[in-house]
Amino acid sequence: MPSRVNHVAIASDHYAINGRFYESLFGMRPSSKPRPARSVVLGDGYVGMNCIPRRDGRYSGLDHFGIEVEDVEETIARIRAFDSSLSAVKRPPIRPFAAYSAHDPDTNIFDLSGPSMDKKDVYAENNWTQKRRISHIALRTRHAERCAQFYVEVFGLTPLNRKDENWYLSDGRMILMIIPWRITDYYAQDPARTGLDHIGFEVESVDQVKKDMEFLIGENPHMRGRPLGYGSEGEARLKLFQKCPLGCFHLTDIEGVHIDVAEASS
Amino acid sequence: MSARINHVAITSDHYATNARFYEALFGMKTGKKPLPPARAISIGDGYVGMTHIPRRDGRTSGLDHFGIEVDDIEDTIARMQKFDPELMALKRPPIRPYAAYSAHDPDTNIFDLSQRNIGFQKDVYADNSENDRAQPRTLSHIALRTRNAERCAHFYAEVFGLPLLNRPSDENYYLSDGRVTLVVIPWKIEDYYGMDPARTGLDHIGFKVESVEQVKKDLDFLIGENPHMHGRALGHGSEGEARLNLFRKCPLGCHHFTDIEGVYIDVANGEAD
Repeated sequence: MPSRVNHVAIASDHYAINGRFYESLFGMRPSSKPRPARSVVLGDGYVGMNCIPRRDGRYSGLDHFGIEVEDVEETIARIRAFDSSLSAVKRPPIRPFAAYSAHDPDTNIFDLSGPSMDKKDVYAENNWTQKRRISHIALRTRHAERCAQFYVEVFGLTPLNRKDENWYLSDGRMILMIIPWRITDYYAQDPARTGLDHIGFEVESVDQVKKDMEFLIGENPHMRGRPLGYGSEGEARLKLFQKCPLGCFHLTDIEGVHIDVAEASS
Repeated sequence: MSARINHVAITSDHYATNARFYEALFGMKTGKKPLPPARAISIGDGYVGMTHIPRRDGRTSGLDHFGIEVDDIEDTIARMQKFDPELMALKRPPIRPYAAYSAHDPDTNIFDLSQRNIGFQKDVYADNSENDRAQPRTLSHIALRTRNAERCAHFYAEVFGLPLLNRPSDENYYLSDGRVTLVVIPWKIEDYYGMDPARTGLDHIGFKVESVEQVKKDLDFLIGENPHMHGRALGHGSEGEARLNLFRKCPLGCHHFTDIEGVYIDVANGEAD
């Protein structure tokens, strides 16, 4: 049951500029058939990123991720076998990626898509390689161990052997990282709610990303992310973020979403 | 153990404009000794304090958390841990105007804990505790949509002594402190057919007003005076309609709109306490 962790969605009032940020800095490509009134959909050849216009009553920021499976119905059956109280809902047909949305035991929402589903946008085109690509999606949740078991059993993701308290589940290319959420980790800062925490990129050169970032902000001041590490609370937030061992340089997008980057291992 | 549900926090990139919206439309007031201008803005209705937090890196915006004021924080934390030993509380930085601790319920919904009459509270929270100013528009309810609603309702009833109101006509739980109601709504992914599923957590806030019709007129006037006072459009398209229909299921409000940030607000006629 090979699954692909190949979708992430960010809700934002600044969704269009945020899409331009990922295009500019990470070379993500927009769909060849864009739908201008709807989300901006970008891809890195494997992962599709939807920059969603934030809707009424909804939160902004990292919103959900998505998994492509061989058989959606069979996957939903496995979800229910894991925990009969877990459910899925069919999505409106206009969506480029999702056939269903579902949730894990901690109510973290993810989309489900199947290879036979009628995919649109970059999800129908995602088949190229590029030097900067999404490497991991990090989820911070209270019952991390149980959630990790869920993603392993239902989706067949492979747990990697790393000696810290996080769980690293690989689809062979992308890592779904599951970090235990504890309120006590938020000493000296506002506690963040559980859910998606950050995304990470593998790049050809971290120094080149820093230079490109400088250049972009010079070209277009709207490409500036949020300052990190200022004041005691900013420092506490950054230190918690820096605990992810998969990134070595830390920044945010226009929306404020945490991004870490690291050089690809040869 | 008399608890008061008297704090709500909204995180926003437009936090200053959003605070002006609540001042302008609902007559909420700033404190006599506000915190330094670079920090969050707190305003109050004489009972509930609403803190507008500048959104920080890596955080989501929107309704962020609520808060409960108790007689004795240590005793409250002990009751939480008796309810479920896995539940934890966290001491907060002393600069905060309201919160002494943050904690969470069994579904990991975060709330602040404060204690009255120990000289800790600042800004509007100190004013609220000194003098409950009567005003015609007051915050009446805070709605939380969460998966294990029954267990969470029992948590708030047992730990905070909030009585469960008897409303048999729907599946929600209504817990009152005598003035403000905490509505605990079951979250089910099936409720999101025809739209994007929303994550669990705070869903909306509600106000009791002297006249819903007057609120509509005031909102119209405000937008004419200042176009930045415009909230988000509701009910447009099939997905907007589905979102609005779900929002309208709360029986405590009859007119629905959003603030500048997009936070859902419902209002109903009713005498302010």
